[in-house]
Order: sequence, then structure tokens, then C-alpha cells
Amino acid sequence: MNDIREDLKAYLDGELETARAQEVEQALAADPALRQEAELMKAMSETLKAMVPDTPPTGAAKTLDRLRSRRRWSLGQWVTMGGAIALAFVAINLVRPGGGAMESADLAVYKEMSPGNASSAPASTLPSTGDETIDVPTLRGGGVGGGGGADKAPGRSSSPAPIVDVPSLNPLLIRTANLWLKVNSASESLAQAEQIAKGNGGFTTSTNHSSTEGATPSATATLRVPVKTFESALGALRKLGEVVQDQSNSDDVTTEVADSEARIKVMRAEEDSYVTMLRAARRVGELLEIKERLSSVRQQIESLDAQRKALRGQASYSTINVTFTERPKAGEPKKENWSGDAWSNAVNGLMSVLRSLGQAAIFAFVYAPIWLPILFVGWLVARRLK
Amino acid sequence: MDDRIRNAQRGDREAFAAFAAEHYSAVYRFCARRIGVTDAEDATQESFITAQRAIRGYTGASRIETWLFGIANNVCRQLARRRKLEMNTMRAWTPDPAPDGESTLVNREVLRNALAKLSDDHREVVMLHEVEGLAYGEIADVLGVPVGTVKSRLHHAFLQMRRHLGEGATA
Repeated sequence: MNDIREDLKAYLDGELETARAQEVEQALAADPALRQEAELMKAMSETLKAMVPDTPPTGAAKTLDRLRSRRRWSLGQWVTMGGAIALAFVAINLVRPGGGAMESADLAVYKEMSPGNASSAPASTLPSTGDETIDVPTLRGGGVGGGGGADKAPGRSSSPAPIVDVPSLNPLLIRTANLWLKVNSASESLAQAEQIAKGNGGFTTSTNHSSTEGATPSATATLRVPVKTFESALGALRKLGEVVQDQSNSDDVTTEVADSEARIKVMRAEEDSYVTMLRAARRVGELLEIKERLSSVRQQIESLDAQRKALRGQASYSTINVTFTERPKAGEPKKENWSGDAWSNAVNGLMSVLRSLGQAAIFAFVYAPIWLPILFVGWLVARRLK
Repeated sequence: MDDRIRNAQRGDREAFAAFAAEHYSAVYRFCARRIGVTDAEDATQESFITAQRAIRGYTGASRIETWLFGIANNVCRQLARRRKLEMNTMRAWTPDPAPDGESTLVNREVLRNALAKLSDDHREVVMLHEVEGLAYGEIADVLGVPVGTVKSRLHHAFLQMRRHLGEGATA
């Protein structure tokens, strides 16, 4: 009988198949309680329908006007518009002076030939380190048996003042210049560039001369010159031909060097304290532990020292990447290599487009915290205005 | 499928407006019963705007009213969530005594309370069937659930309401 009850509502609503409906009808005929139940359900349905208040519709004219004239943007259109704005913004950033874009189509080729990176940051915009003292925070822990060996080193103050005061340093700049020149003879200019490096107390680290059939002869060189003669060497190189592009960037490593030196001093103090402890140690276990820590500290000192020396070395000599490309010689018949030219132009063009798209994507991603909320707010406002 | 719908599917705004004018009252009442009179106008407008965008996708597999109610139901749910409204509200329901001729088996106030005590899912099915007059299959289309679920929910909803009515009567 329970099964019949489960289908009673569906029977009353006319939602049962004929065979099942007949079964329910038979059960109803035989069971007065079931009939009573069915009557109650019917009454509930009728009462529910009667209780619902009638609500005269309003706003029809407004909605219909809207539907007739409506020309609103969908979410997809908003997103497209946002993307277009972001791309335009990126494009503006790329083409403005100093924004990183090449100003001439030729530069795409020159850039490909460049042996160094092409990021540009004018040296004049670098912040000055001034005469400020770099404070190094006190090292804690690291002592044998939790005793804080470094803190207990002879002559070590327990005040919160910094352990090491690093004297002021002259700014240490790793300077790199990328120079692209059009010259009459790439090989001659290459030889002259090497002479300029030598004359300014520097040297040549690598050269490359290319004179492939059908291609414009070119040469590249990487020169290292002392910081003091960097500008004069660069000036002399610029005079070798027509400057197509001139980029230079500087990386200030003053803080890194100062930090390394300060940490070395602290490590050395720690090393001394371990040596003292090693002399006083009696037990084998204690000796081994101190030795292990001493070895670790010495390794760190060596690593930091190597890092410091490398940075100082890089800062003492600046790098100039120079690329020479020959001008077409006057009166020289132009070599017919249209297919090769077309191929290289197409490849260069594609690379340029891909690079621009990549840059645009990166800009769009980086600027997403700005344009996405704006887009979202715009979309919300648009929804509200519906 | 009538010509008006076909024209609307081809982008004829006038045809869609005529179609909307015909169904406006039904959709408005549907929305009013879902989220209340105050927000019904907004919900109705939003429903028709959504329907205008989606009309190309209407295949005629279900009645056009059912299709519209499906959209309106989703719009009401979104609006209720956004504006923190009570779905399937019964605030406007009148607990007036039954007029002459209505069955006296059921007390209106007790039935109203019984309906209010149902879960949202059960109350929604009861309203769609008893108030909107939708068949089980249409309710299944509107809610996106199987017909068996609709049948089961209605059975259990009435079972619970009957229990509450019994308690109300004894009380």
C-alpha cells in the first residue's frame, strides 16, 4: 500500500502511466482511508492555488522599449574592449621613447646580431649610494650546544648595535653598452675597435666576423675596458661609423658587495670563536661538532669572498658589445638575391611580430591588476544600468 | 515554432518585443512569486534581455513558456543571491479565511505555515506545480533535474505538509 501512496500525488496530477493509474484507482476504490487522503491532497492543492495573491504586472512598457532599442555589450564584447585598451596601452608603452621599442626596422636585424642584452637604463638615473653606512643585523645562534658561539666571541658587544659597520663605499657599477654601427669595412672597424680597447687599458674578450655570400658583411666584438676609460672608449667607438643604436645600462652592486663584506667579517669572528672553543674542547663529540661547524663557516666565507671578488671584478671593467654592419658600397652592383632577402625579411618580420606579441602579453599580464578591476567595475556598472 | 520566434531568432527586435509583450504578464507573475513584487520588474526585464540574447538557441524542444520560466528562474536566483532576497517568498500571501464554497478541509494559515517549513527545494517544486501550473516534465526542464526527482519532491513535500496540517489540527 505504501507504493500506492507514493504515487497518489502523481495520480491526482495526471502524471502516471495508464497501467499504474488503474492500479491506484483500484486501491482507492478498495481503501476508504486512501480516498480520504486523496481528498485532503486535492483540497491542499486547491487552497494553495486560491491563496496566491494576484500581482498586476508593472514595467512592461519600459522593458519592451528596452528590448526594441537595446544595443548593449555582452560580456565577451566588454572583455574584447578591455583587451583592446590593454593592448593599446602596451603599444603606447612600447613605442614611446625609452619604452624599449626599436625606432627603425633595421634595428630588428641589429638586435638579433647583438652579443649582449639590450635592456636600457641610463646610468644617470641610477640612485646614488651616498655616504651612508650599511648596517648588518646581528647574527644569532650557531653556537656549540646552543651556547651562541658567535655572540660570545672576544670583544663582541652584547648591545643591539650592529656588529659590523661597513665604511662608505664608492658606487660599484657593472656597466654594459651595446653599440650598433654602420661602417664602410666591418673587418677594418673590428681591428680599430680592438685597438681602442687596448689603448684605453682594456682588452677584447670575443670577436666574430661574418661575410656570407649574399648577406651584408658584419662583425661583432665584446670589449672590456676599465670603468674610468669606459666613456672615452665608447666615444672613440662611436666615431668609427654611423651610430644606428646606442644603449647602455648599469647595475649597481654596491649594496651586494657591502653586504658580502659585512657577512664575511661576521663569519670570520664566528670562525675565531670556534677556533678558541676548539682549543678548549676536551671531549671527542664536542671536538667533532665544533670542527664541523668551523668547516661550514669557512665554506661560507670562501663562497662569499668569491662572490665579492667576482662582483668587484665585474665592476672594475665595463663591457661594450659592438656590432659593425657594412654600408652598401657606392657603385657596387646590387647582388640579386631576392628570394633570400624575402625569406630573411619574412623571418625577421615574423620574429618581430612574435616578440611584440610576447611583450604585449607580458605587459597585459603585468598590468592586469589595473585593467582587470577597471574592466570588472565597468561590467558591473553596465549590468546595473540595464 | 511560430513565425514571431523565427523572426526574433533572425535578429528582428520588433518580433521579439511582440513576443515579450505576450508573455510579459506570465513572466512577471512568475518572478513576483519567486522573489517578491519589489524586485519582480527588474527580474522580468533581465529575463527578457537574457532571452533575447539566447533566443537563437531555442530549438522548440520545450514549450516557449517553459523555456522562458527556466531563464526567469535562473535570473531570480541570481538576483536573490545578489540582493540577498528570500526565494519563493510567501510574504504577500493572504492568510484570509477561506471564502464561501472553498473546501474547509484545510486551514489556510496552517497550510501557509506548513509550506513555509518545507525546504527550499521542496517549496520550489510545490510552487512551480501548484501555483504556476507546470507539469512534472516542465518543472524538470526549468530546474534542470530529472522528472523522477520532481515527482519524489512533490510526494515528500505533500507528505510533510499533511503532517504539519495534522499537527496544526490537533493543536
